[in-house]
Amino acid sequence: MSDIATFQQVQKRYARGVLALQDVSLGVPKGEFNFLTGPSGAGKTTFLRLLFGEERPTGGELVVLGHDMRRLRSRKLPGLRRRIGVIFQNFRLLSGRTVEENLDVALRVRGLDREQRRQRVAAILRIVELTHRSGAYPEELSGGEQQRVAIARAISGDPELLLADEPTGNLDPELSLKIMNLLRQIAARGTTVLVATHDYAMVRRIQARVIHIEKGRVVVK
Amino acid sequence: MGNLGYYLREGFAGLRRSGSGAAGAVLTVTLSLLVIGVVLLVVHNLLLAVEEARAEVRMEVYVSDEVAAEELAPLETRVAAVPGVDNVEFVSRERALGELREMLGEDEYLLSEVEENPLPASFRLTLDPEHLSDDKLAETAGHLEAVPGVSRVSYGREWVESLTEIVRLAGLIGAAIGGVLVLASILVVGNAVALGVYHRREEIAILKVVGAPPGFIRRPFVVEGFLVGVLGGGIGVGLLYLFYRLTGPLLGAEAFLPLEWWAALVGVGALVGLVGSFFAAAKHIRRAK
Repeated sequence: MSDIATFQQVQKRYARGVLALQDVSLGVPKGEFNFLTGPSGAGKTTFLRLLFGEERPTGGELVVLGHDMRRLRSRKLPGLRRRIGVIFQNFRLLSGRTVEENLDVALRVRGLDREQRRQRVAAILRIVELTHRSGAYPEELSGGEQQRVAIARAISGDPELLLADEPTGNLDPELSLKIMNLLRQIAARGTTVLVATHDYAMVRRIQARVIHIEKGRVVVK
Repeated sequence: MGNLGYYLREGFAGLRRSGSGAAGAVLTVTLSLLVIGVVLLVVHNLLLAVEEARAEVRMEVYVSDEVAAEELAPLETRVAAVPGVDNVEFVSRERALGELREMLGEDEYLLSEVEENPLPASFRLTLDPEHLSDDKLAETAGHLEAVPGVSRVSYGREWVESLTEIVRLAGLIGAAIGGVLVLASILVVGNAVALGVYHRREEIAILKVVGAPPGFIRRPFVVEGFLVGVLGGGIGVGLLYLFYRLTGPLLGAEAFLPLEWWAALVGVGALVGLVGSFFAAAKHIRRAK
């Protein structure tokens, strides 16, 4: 079992009858960097949301980090989420809290004590090269900096799975490449990384496994 | 409880961050409390006035004409021995006439035709405070009438009993208006707090994504709701006091609400803020998935 997530004929139909994903069967191998590609509305976001339990499959079987996602109790969800890092296109940082506080809260949730948190925050800020911005508020940061904070938060808890939904969608090409390289470094350390993007130029530049979705169906390349 | 400090800090910080949302909730608590407070203030002062009027009650024990002058002293002793009697003051026939003259003022001439003093002597009694209720007054009057040598006892029974009626009515009306206001305030404050939480649902959603358990997300909001209640309540009581100081002398109000009353008001505000934010946060935590 070297797959971190396994899809078996997974289907997701939304309440209003829209079929977002159908007949998805694949395994996401551990410790790899993967792209999730496809046109807008193809189902990339749904695919990611199923993985971190924001949505539940309506058919088939999905196992994430050993949890059957159709039967997972909602009180078990926070525990699973602490093993998964999620990065959004719009960053989703806590406004009104500094960079440091944004990272600190994610570690506090994981039960780290004050000294552990302080050390870990310092280490993570070094990785994303934001040590000098630790006291800044998200509103004061550039888009690229905000995204690096979001990445820092997502990896702060040393997740087994890192999901990124269009993480470079709001960034210029040069910054995008920098962010993408950062995510690849994270994958190189053993974290499974799944990056949804429709930046095909980027996908061509980087050697990685590509999961392509079109009209709710998956084609693994 | 390593996170207690965090919950408290975040509760305070949340108050700051919510800005207008929190301010709206605080203002709602303040205004609700002010309205309820004014009603309570009126009722409280009315009750005080009635209590004062009752304390002024004097019982007049008239001495029968047959009682000889030397029998007055033993009679006074017997009257003073009746339970509930506090102080006894003898009013002679002459003094009674003098008082009547004084009362009549310009109409004193009415007495010019009277040849003989028609007024009886009496004992004027003050009563122990615990003997001032309607029942006790009637009972004491009964005891006094049974004393030989006493012809009649009077204390303005109807007037006293109308005071009781005022108290009963004021209590009833106060409770009805107060009850409706408290209920309405609970709903309004609850909604204001919930609105504040609603504005910060993204924060809740983010914390959920990070893997925070519901209690961890909720507790700072509960602290914040409590603070909203205390803050709004405090300001409300402050304004109520100001209102009392400014208008009290004009309206004849003599006392501010007792500590327990306004502390209870602030307490209710804090409780509503706390419970309101608890449920609002719980709802958004559920919704955010």
